[in-house]
Amino acid sequence: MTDDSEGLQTRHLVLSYGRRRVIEDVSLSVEPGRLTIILGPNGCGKSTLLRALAGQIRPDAGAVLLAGRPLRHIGARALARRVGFLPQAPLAPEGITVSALVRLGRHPHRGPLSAWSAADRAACDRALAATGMSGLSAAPLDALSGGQRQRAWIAMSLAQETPTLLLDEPTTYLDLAHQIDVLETLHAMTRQGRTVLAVLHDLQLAARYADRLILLHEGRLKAEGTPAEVLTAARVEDVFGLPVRLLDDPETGRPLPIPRRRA
Amino acid sequence: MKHLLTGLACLGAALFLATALGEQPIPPRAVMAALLHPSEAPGQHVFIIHTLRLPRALLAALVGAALGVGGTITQAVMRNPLAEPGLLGINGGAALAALAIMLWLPGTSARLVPAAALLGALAAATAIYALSWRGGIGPQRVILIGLGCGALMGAVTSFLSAFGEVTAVQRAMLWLSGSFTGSGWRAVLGMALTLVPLLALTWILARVLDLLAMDEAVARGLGLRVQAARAAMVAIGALLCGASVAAAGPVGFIGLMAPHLARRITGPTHAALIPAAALAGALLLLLADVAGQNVIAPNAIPAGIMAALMGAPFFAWLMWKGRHDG
Repeated sequence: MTDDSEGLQTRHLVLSYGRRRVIEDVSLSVEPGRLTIILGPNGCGKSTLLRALAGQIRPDAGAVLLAGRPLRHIGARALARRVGFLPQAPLAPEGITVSALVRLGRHPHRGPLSAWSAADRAACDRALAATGMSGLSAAPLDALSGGQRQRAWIAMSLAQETPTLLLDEPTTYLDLAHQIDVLETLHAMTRQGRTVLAVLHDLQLAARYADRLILLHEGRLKAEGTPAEVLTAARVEDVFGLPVRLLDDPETGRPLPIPRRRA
Repeated sequence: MKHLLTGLACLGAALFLATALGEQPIPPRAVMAALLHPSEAPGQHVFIIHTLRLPRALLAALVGAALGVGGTITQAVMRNPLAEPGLLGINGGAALAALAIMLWLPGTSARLVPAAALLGALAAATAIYALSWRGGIGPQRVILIGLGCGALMGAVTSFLSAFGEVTAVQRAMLWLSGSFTGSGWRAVLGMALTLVPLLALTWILARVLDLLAMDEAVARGLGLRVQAARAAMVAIGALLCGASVAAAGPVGFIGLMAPHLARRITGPTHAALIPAAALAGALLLLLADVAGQNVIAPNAIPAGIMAALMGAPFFAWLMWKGRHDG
């Protein structure tokens, strides 16, 4: 892995979707080796910010930096060896098997004519094992349950072996047990030194698993820090328009936001 | 690998069948004799096989292979299993250009028609690509614009043939139905020289097609420059299908059917799918041509029409079966 210990940063980032401004002057740093979760209400620009960090869209102004260099100065394949990106509910061709999907993750490491190597094979095996998908590698993706399919996609991203991995709502459409599975997998990755950044909707799961939170509101950075620093009752009510009480999570001792009933 | 060998064996058998069957059937033993020892075989057999049937059969197989691969590329780039090379304007552009040449320049040699068809095909593909461009192309937009342009070119073609001179229109109609009548070794050589390098190139780029068939964001995240890759693959597909139209006239359906048939056997990974689609296309078009020459002999049905006549029900059955197999 390349040394990306300086990690991803944005400087005065401005992003638009068509003509609409989505992200307005956001400067932040993604802490390396940690699980960071981006939170915010619908339409606050979470996914757009994540896609810009992945180099998928160009900034209108400002810059995204990887280890101090602007992303646009890094070639597409070189970037794909350093930053992985998994979009929300991605599409795959009908009939593709889990192993064929995971093998695609090796693309940035292979030249146009280079044969499938032992290192490629080992990376795929590790990725399948880490996601608990080894037994299903021959299965077609469309025959799997939602949770298994999501783990197959994560396995593809793991096979890419990037020091940094960005995921857009990796737990959508999953039941609670599978959401926990995915978050445990991501957490385990950070303990092996990788940087993981995910967009999530669920405040409670985010508070439980994230090392750091990024809170967005109407395209602006509202707060950044540990869950205890970011999640205050006043701020959550301000951003989500939802009054909450903060309990202590008996599992982790972290803040656990509980929505109040509307009178 | 086993499937590939089976496919090659089937193709060999079909080629043999194509040389034996026809207006004057030749027994298998005599076919072998004429193929292996032409100097000792009866001159009539040698003429029928070496000058008439073999080049025709080989050309049908080569064109079918090109359409099969062209269709595979189109479906991957458009991320749509119902896409076919006609959406790129290949057939419409070729038909229009060929008809215009035949009607307006009646004195010109028949050799100009394929060249005009190829140019028409490439011009139409370029126009559709350019019209779809909006800071990049999206598959949906290409499909819609391709359908629109196809309808427009079809209307102009109908208009021209409705008001054109009758014998010229008739000649054009035969060409427009996709026929291998009178194909010689020259055409075989030309098609082989076009097909082999393009086929090899497509196979080398099989992983790019794998990625293009995926979600665009996933492909980009894996380091593919999506727009450049799409343009390159569409260009290869247009050349493959354009060369086919030039050699045989517009032949529909093979480009749609061959990739589907191949995918059933190999799955969607292009390194295996491309050779399989080439074989499936070759086999389908060759069998269509053999059937077309023999079902109502001595009259011959053009291969293009036969491909649609045989292909449509077969395709419907394939889809129906697929639905019920789950």
